[in-house]
Amino acid sequence: MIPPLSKSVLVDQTFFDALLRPDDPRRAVALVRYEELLADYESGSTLIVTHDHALAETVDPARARRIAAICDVVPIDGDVRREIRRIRADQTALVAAGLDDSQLATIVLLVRRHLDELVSFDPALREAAIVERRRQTEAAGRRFRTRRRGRVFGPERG
Amino acid sequence: MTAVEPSIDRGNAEPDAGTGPISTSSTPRHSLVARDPFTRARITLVSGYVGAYVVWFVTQGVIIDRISVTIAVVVLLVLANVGRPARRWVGLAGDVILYALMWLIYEESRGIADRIGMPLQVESVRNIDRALLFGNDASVVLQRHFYDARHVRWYDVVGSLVYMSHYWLPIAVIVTLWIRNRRQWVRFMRRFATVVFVGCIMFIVVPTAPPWMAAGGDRQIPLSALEPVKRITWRGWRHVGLHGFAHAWDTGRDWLNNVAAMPSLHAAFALFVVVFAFPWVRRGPVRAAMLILPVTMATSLVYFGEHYLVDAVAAWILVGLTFLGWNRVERAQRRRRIARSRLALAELAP
Repeated sequence: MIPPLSKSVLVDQTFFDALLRPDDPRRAVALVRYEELLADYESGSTLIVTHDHALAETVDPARARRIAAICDVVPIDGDVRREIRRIRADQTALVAAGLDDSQLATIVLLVRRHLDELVSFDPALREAAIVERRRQTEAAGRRFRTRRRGRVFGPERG
Repeated sequence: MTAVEPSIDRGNAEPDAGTGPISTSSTPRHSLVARDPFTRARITLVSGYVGAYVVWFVTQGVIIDRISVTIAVVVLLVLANVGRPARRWVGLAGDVILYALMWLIYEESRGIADRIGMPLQVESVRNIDRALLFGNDASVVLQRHFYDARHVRWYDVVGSLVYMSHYWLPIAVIVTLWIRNRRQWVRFMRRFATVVFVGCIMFIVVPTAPPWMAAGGDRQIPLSALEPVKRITWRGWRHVGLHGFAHAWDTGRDWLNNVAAMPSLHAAFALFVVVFAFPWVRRGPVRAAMLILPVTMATSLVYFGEHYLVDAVAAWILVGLTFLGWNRVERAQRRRRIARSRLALAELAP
């Protein structure tokens, strides 16, 4: 029995763009991943999340919203918006690396909402080194999985 | 969390998933995203509230009337949401209104039952119980074998404490879920409200005398459908020094709906919490141990003369049907959304 909503996946703008552009070279890969997400979603085990910045900046926002019918669309406001502003003020090296508000929103949401996985084609987010720490332990003939909260690492502050 | 590039080869998609940062730079690193500055304030406020509640519990007992419980829950949720965005407060207000409405309907069901005046079920439920138990009256038999008027036994205490869990366990789960994971809270509350709502309808349509009343325990409704059964729920609390709770429960009996016996919400909630938690428990023995709660609750209810066995069985069936029903509804919702998503994508196909 899989616990309901036990896994959370954040889908970003680049993934929607790959789905929305029929001539995108990444589309075949995106479609396979999309089908996997649908299967996980249908089973009830996975919560799929995106944010309004990601949808608004796709090549076809209206259609992206319809495709995102399976997603919880998180508005970027409140603490997430505040944190983006703070990162912009503090993390000059990161800003210089060219991360826009949508990418920062993705990073902040991943950490603040404790989301498990990011589905993205964005190399900049991988540059930001989003890391999963998982430890699998064999004990007493049973497998336990300890999932530690992820961290987003960036250049040294100040 | 994992940064997964949408790759068919998942092995390539998760480089260095087990140990540390992907970046190979030797620069010292730190968390890019800071902790929410209000987190500490919320933890402090909620901890203070829990501490105050424990003091109240020891001195005054558990709050059992639904209106006071709702107020207590609202205060806790307000403290747990300090510093959250306005959108979340709006959501909280909506959730609290629905939650309070649920308990208001529950409280009002007694008045509606009095106005409609459906006939009180006494022999019918007793007879069903006898049919289930080969002609025996479970409360009578249990009290005959285990009740000792001069001494409070260990099982009296265990039964009383399990009975008392009805007043705090579901509420604690509801509040915890709201604070930790509102989506799970929604799943919980859909099912919980359904059980309460169906229970209320049955209390109105099928008002049922519990065993202690059927045995003549209520002076206003003199009945003699059973051999004498004492209402001994309070003995365990007094024995362990929970006089405050015993007093609150004793006072509450005056305004509680005494003929709201079918189905037993005590039995329903005990099973409900366990069934809801089942998917997160992988080990069979732990699951079996969890079932001790509803079984002990049902046994205690019968032993204390609070319910017939059939009240508990009806409650368990109600819980089972509620979970099955909502599971189907939620699956259908997900399939509709998948169909909408697929349609939007299919329209793009060349």
